[in-house]
Amino acid sequence: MTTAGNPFLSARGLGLDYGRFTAVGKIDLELGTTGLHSLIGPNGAGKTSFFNIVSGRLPASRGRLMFEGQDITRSGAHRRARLGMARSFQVTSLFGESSVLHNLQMAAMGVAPSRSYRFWSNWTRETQRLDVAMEVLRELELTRHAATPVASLAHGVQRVVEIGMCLAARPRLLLLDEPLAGLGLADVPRIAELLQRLKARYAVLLVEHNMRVVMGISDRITVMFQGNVIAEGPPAAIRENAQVRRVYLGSQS
Amino acid sequence: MNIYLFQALNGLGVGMVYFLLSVGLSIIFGLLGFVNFAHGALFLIGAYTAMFVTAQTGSFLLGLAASFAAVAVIGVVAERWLLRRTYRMPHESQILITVGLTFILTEGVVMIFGPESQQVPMPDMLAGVFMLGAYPVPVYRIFIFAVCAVVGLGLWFLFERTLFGARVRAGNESSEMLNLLGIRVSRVYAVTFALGTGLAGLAGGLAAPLRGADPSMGAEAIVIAFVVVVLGGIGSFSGPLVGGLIIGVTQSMMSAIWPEGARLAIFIVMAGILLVMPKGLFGRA
Amino acid sequence: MLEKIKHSSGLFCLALAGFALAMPLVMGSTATAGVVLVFAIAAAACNLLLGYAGLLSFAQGSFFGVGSYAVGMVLKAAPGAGMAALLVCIVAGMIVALAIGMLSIRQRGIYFVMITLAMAQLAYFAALSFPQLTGGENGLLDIPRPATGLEGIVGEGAGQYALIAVVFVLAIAFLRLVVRSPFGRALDAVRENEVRAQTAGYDVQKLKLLAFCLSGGITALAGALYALQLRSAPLSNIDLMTSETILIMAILGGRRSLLGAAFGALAMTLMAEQLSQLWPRWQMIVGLVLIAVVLFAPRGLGSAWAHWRDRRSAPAGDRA
Repeated sequence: MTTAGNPFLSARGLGLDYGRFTAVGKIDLELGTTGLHSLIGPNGAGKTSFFNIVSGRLPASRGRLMFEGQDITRSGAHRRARLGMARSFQVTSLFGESSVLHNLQMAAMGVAPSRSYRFWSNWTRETQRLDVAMEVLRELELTRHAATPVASLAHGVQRVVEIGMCLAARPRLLLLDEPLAGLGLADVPRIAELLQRLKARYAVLLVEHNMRVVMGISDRITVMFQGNVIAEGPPAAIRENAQVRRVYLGSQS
Repeated sequence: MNIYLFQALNGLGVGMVYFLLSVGLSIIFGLLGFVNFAHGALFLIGAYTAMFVTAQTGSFLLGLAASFAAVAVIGVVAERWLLRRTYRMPHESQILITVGLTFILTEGVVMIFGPESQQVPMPDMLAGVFMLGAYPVPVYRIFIFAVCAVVGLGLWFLFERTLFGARVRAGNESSEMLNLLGIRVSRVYAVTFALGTGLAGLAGGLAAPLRGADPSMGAEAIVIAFVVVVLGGIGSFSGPLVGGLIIGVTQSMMSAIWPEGARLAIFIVMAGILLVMPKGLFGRA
Repeated sequence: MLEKIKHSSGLFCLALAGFALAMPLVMGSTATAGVVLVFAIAAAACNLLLGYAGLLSFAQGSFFGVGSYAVGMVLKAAPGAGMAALLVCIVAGMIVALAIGMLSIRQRGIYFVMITLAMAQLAYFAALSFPQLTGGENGLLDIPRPATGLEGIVGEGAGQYALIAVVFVLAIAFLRLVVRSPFGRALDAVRENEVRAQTAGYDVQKLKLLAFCLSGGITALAGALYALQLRSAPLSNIDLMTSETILIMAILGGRRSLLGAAFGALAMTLMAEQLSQLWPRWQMIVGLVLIAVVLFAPRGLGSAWAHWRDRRSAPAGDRA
């Protein structure tokens, strides 16, 4: 839930232009230290673009972004990661040739920057990274895949590893971009249940298309359309909102 | 008109040759993502072809036409039989294979024409000077300018106003899409390669009467081409034009001010511009 | 066998030492063997960039040349400096790498390649434009060799070769240390998936810059040794052909293979030595060889082995 006075993450008037095309107009959004906030909207609404400016992959064209009271609007993606922001990708983006364990170790080292410059010591000394990676493997029940190269994993498992990369960074905020993308029906409940567990410990900003899951686990929902927010509130309110229905849900409920 | 202005005008002529040399490299890379390190050797072959054909036929125009045609043919053949296989390979493989090609082409030229640099006589018609006020402007420079301007306009027309050009520009974005649309991508590639390489050959032919023909031309040319393309921005058409002119003018003016440093100045200018505009003047991300 | 070498530092160093011992026999003299080792060091430093950081740099010749000039300048001014001169060269190489890197590394992909080429030319013309420092066209001549202490025992040539051989083993062993370090893994990550690396918190620019500096320092060291070998620092050490040659050796041996760099250096040096005596147009054969390698052994000569070995070993993340 949003804590009054000092939101964990606060976006004010955040927007993104690609030349003359406005992908994201002016977005206000706040997150508390825990809880799950979903971002929904039809394709082209600007959700992933918004994600990109929050995570720092692209610089915002306007507005301010505050994280734990710090202005991070101009900070690079790597700096935001070290501050505690972890992001997963809609299209699985891992270190394909490496094993699951190695991927997680690399994610763990990313937020320990001084370690990544140690060119004189041996990799096997990074035991702390190994420990973190093993913990994440256990938590996500991926231990049996530890040595498998991620490129050869089933899609559903890769999506879990994608989330694992975030967890290995021991973050405070999770930005999850369509974690359910491309999953078969059998895999969805497992990830949904994982998200349910995560929202108790982290602030989660979720982009998703699966309405049943979104309605089921979100604490708050923001609806975007053509780059702007058209509604925000708890799931029940969004479900009843006529404009949202018109624009997005159509005849579904 | 003072000496510097005069040199600057001179530099425009040089710059136009650099434009011709580099635009092919830029287009080929923009469309195919292919690094053609042999581009300099093609310039070299263009120069020698022009020299040979002119000597055999007595017609410089024929020599120029041959420099374009011969190199275009080499380009198409190399693309079809050799280079096409490397499109999916990492850039270093493409560089390695075109370096290999460069060795073969350059040594081939030396085998046929010998290692000495050769004079290429200026055609009589173009050898005079044209008085601009108190300054003699070599007619040949005007000729180069005219040829490059015509070619430049032709290219602009080709890429902006024709269906073929639209396909090339589309292919720049996504060659997969071209394929899906049923357009014979291999044909687009072949024509683009022929055009890009042929232009380098033509540049060589044009440059031949100015600096003679010698085996080291290729190595010099590839560097200039790279500098112009980086400065102007990859994949663009105006990039090599403006880039080429800037480099040409810089080089000419510096040769009046600090001759030893003229070559150095080119790179300093390039470094300076890139500091401010990392993608080059007209580069796309 | 190769797998064992890859996994054991001891065996790796032994292989390097064996290579160094064998070279004078293979090449017929300690002078040409020294050339092979010198370029092997430079090629291996290039492999760090190419195969691990994913940076294809045409600027290696600049570092090589800077090292040559630096050792020449130091030893001509202070012949007693001895080995310390080599340290100066390493530092000089790192500084130049930092300068070139800061301009080049903000670029990605082919832009980076082209800029390093332009930077290399800048260095070349700078060297040409300041003959007071560099000797211009002639280079620096009469560079005194530092005493290695072995001259009395095995003669000057072998003493010099011993120096080069020791540096060869140390430098490449050092590079191996680097690629197996957390830094080496970070470089791999950046090369494999730069977006993911950045999102995970890696400062991609700084990492690439550090790799560039390490490579520059070691390449300069190689250039210095070469200058000592020749007793001069010619202009050609800083020209584009040197950059090309180093790059070709690195690619021939396999982009990630440090031992392969040594074999790439051997192959190119052999071709230059032997073929040039047979046919003035020998470079045409080199061209054919390069084309053949790209078409039939695209991952380099060294990686033909690696390919075979990969099919039997552990997943990438746990490999050396």
